[in-house]
Amino acid sequence: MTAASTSPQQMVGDIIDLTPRERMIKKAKSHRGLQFGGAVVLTMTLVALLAPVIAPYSPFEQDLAKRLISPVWAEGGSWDHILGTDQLGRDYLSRLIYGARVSMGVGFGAALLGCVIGVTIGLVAGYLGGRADRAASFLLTCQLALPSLLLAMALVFFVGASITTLIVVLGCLHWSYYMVVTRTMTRQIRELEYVSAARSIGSTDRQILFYEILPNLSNQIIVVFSLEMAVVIIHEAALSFLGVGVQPPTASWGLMIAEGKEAMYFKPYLVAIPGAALFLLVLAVNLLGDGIRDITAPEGRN
Amino acid sequence: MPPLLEVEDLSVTLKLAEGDLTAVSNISLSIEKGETLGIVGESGSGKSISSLAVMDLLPKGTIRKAAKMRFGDTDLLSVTPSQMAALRGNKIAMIFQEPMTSLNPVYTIGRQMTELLMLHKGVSQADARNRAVELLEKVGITAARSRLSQYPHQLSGGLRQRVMIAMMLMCEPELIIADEPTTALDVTIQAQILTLLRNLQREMNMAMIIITHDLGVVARVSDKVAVMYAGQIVETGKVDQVFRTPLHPYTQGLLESIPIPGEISPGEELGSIPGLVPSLKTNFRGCRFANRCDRAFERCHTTPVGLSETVQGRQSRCLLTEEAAAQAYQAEKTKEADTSTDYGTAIDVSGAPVLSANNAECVFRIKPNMFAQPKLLRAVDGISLDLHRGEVVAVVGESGCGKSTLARMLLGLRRPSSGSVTLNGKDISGLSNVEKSRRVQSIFQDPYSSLNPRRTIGEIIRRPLQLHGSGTAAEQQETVEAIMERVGIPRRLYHNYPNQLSGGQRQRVAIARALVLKPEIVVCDEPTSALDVSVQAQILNLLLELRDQMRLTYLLITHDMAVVEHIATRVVVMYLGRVVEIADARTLFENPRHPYTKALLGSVLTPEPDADVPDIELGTSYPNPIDPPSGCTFHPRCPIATDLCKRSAPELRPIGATETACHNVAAEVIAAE
Repeated sequence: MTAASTSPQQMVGDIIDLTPRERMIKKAKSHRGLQFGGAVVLTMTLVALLAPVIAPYSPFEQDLAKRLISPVWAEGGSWDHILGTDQLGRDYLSRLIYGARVSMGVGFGAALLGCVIGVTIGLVAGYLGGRADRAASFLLTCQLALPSLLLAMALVFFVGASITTLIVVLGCLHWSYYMVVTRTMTRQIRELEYVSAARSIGSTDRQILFYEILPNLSNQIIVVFSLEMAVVIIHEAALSFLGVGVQPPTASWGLMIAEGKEAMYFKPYLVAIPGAALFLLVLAVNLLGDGIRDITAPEGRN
Repeated sequence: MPPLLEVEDLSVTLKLAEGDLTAVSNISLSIEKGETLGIVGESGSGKSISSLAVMDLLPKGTIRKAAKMRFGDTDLLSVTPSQMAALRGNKIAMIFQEPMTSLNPVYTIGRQMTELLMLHKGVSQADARNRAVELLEKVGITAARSRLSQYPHQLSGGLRQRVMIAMMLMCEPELIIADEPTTALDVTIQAQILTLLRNLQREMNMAMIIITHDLGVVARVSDKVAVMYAGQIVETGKVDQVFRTPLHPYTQGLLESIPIPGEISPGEELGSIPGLVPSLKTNFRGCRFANRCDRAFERCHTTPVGLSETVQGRQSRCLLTEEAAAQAYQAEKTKEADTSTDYGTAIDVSGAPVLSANNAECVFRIKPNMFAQPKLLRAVDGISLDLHRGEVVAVVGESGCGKSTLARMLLGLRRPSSGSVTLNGKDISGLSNVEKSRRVQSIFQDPYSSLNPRRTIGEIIRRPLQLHGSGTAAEQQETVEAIMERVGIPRRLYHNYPNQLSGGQRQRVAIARALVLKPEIVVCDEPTSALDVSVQAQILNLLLELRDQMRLTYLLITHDMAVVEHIATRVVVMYLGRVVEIADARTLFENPRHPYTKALLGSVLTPEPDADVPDIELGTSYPNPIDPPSGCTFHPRCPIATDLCKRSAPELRPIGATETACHNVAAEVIAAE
């Protein structure tokens, strides 16, 4: 047929017979942001896991004779301590590597916990509506009215500072965005005909929530997750800075910034290096989040 | 005299991320004072874009090219943006489709109406208000002065569209462009608005361009018609010429896809146009319609086809000669008339009803705020209805009459407030979701929202099988593929997402999902109202075919009387939650008794070029269901209402072959006996 260029098969021509998984891989291969974000997050995770193997020194070992050595690129730096040392003479690279464990652990852990809490409350409130919705909204108002940093400090103070406590406390304080987004979206989706259709083919409420509604929220949840993770890491830094977070001598990026601030004006790298690491992680998580959204969403970018 | 608006060789190109898309290519239009031009076409044919191009309201980044574009003495191609703004609303006015969103909700009607006049003509506020009142009265709005201080949400859809029209008339425009002015309205209101537009246009000698997908509207309102397909005009001419002897195969196909009451017997297969509208990104070489045309030959695919003049001002973009085209159409028409199917033989009325509602009622409690007394909204007010195996029962009525709520109750999605719904003799509320869904399935109105965008077509159709745990994964896949073939979805779409499919294909997927469990009853809620005319015919044909193959019983919820006449065997007419008339389809269409049924039937716009818009005597608009009128709820709109109707509500009683709820009809029949 000469009109092959306009035949119906051709008209939907960009649709190739790929399974969803194959199509996702194909999209991922051409997605720069996803590749960069994924690579950075993966590297940082590996570094954090393999800290004892990679770190050149112990992060706790003090050597007051070698205090405040500049990094290798600055004046007075040496290859012995690539990123220099802090005011107690501890190797800064080793502290950064060990710090990744705490920062990433707290970041992922607390953001995930907040996600589970917020999405669950949001789904239930949005889907059921009525009394459940009003109760959830009340809970949200209470949460927003509380000064979260103060509350976190109080909680950590009473329970005792540890990484687990930090994750739980921060997770319990960072669910409001998830909840608001999930609740609004669920309310909209609940009214759509595919939910009615699901019910009329015999789905239960639970199946509707998890099979029909939740996958349609994943775009929004991923975006909120990548934003919240950055917020949580910074929050952890703030708590550590105030002395109720990670206890010295444990290394965390937030704590490193906190400790470095005393010498910040003449040794700016003390703040700049952990700051840069934090920036890179948050950026990578955001890019990864956007990338995952792009490759999983059937409609492409929206 | 030169025409009022002249457009020559207009092309519009949209810049998209994936490349350029020529939405309109080389169209020419002209319209004279006092003339109405109808532009018809399916969605995506470029009809709205061309009118936006004339108004210079195209989205940013759009390229408009034309050899000539002139309105009155103004050259639209060289005007400055401020000159154009002065023209818009003043000389050229536009009426949009959606009256619910085209008025600003935060300003009063009066402010919105007077603003334009004060802006363009520098009229004082008092004068502008007087003019607004005058025009509101002209468009048939009662208590016009008090309306000026009302906000849009206080008015019904029909009233808002009237306000929009009055607003457009404020500056006495010379040209009105109406883009689907009645699509969002109920049929009875549609007829009123069209009559109004037509009368006003004649009275004020304005030119009007009416853009629509509805051939019935064009046939009755316009003088000239232009049929658009894939960004081109494929046929133009006087309305009666085009509708009587359509030359282009596309126009012929469109006209054949509409069920015309009286011309088509129930259950007969409609003519339809196979295939899909081509993507406008395609590089066309030959005729754009060639791949869907059953009369296309070699040259159609290879040579560009131009518009060729036939007789006095008629043009058609087809290589077939005029005689050949006309002959082919006649042959097609007569062939259809011969085939008569024995529709309705599958009905088994003697047996027990498969699904029935017994005095079912659905009451919503509306609470405007926390402290107010809840008000009761009787969405469905005591309805009894039996569905027998093989029947196609249509429930018709305007929006808000409770037909969708009734469908939800029959599907078991909503529990009746009182009364019951029984499925094969068992109360439906006692059945589990799984049991219910094995017997009753549904097809929803909007195929764009009835499919989960995150699931592939295969997953969507397979889901019911998974939920019911029938068969192994391989068996399920086999069943899915079989049903896909049956409803006409190509196998290669298995792994695609719904957003990659056209509206018609999506509706086929929804049908496949409903039928994969082999149900007995299918509830179709407006199954074709979101689809284009040619696709609507494909879907109706499919539903009929499947009914015969799978021995299905349909409950059809719709407002489209033409569809009802085409496929229904029994019709239930609803008004404000109550049944006003039930009858066998044939009886109802031949001899409607209830005044509301008569009005509904009268407002159907078949594409008859000679006929005028029917005059519907339904005074006021649809009442608010929270506050229904006393007695017979239809009495405020009824042309034959008496005092008795205001006082007592009529019962549904058998009159001849129909059951009707009307005091007057009952009295008449008794008197006749």
